[in-house]
Amino acid sequence: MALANNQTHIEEQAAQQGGPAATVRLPIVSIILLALTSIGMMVSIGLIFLVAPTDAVEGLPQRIFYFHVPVSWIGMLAFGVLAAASIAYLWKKDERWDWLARASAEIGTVFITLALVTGSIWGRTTWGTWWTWDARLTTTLILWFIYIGYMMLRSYMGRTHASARSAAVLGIIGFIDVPIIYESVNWWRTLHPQPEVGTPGALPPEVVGILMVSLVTFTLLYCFLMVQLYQLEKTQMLAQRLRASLE
Amino acid sequence: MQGINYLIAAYAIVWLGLLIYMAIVMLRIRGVRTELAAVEELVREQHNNATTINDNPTPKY
Repeated sequence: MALANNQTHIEEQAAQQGGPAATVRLPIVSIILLALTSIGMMVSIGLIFLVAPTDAVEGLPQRIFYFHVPVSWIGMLAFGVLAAASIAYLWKKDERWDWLARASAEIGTVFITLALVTGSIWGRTTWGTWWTWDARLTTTLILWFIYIGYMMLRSYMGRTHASARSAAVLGIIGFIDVPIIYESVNWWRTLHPQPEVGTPGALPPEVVGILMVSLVTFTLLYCFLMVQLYQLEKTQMLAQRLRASLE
Repeated sequence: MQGINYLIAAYAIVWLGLLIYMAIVMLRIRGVRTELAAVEELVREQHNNATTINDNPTPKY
């Protein structure tokens, strides 16, 4: 997976010239992130299935919580990064911010999809239904549609400044949905549980500890994927520019 | 007992989904690198041809 760390001749030249592709290349970062993510995943799985207490009411399916919450968190974090990078792009007009936004959007789409799927399975065991038009679920589905719209926009408009600008605007406007998702359980009466992390006495300390390990692990995975996709975006742009120079 | 099936399904979907996505990213990176190497070779060839023409200009009669 550390394939993105290999540098081609053209990239080396661009890096020496201090051009747009002259970003700091840290091959060791990918290796460290991958190693930490792998260790974190193994530790998380061990803790979830061997240490975590079984919920008295929900039973075993409650353990979905330890993966459902982190993937949902990454889905929202990715949109936060997308919005921040979009603002930076509109302000600085530096395409590297656009690469970052694009990379984050793609990863966010994957994670928010997984959040919806795991939430649906958990809902089936707890509520007896795969889906309900609950405020939290509906606002999360809206976020998923925003992500899909963003990816479609990027795909249809190609790698142009107009595409980057339009997508940046969509990314910033779409971010409004993230605080709505977070607050939906407080603003409306929902089936979805209220926020329990950070509420004193809501969860046993070992449950919070295991959840934190899982959250850190998924955040490391997000960082690893971001490095890979950023390099991919950079390489694609280089290839496009070289092809254009030949024509 | 049915709860275990849902638990396994949820974890399997997350793991498989992430592994498949990472494999796709890896293949995309490999594809772009191959493409870049090919374009790089074309640029080098073009550069070499230009140098040869400059070194051996067409004789004027």
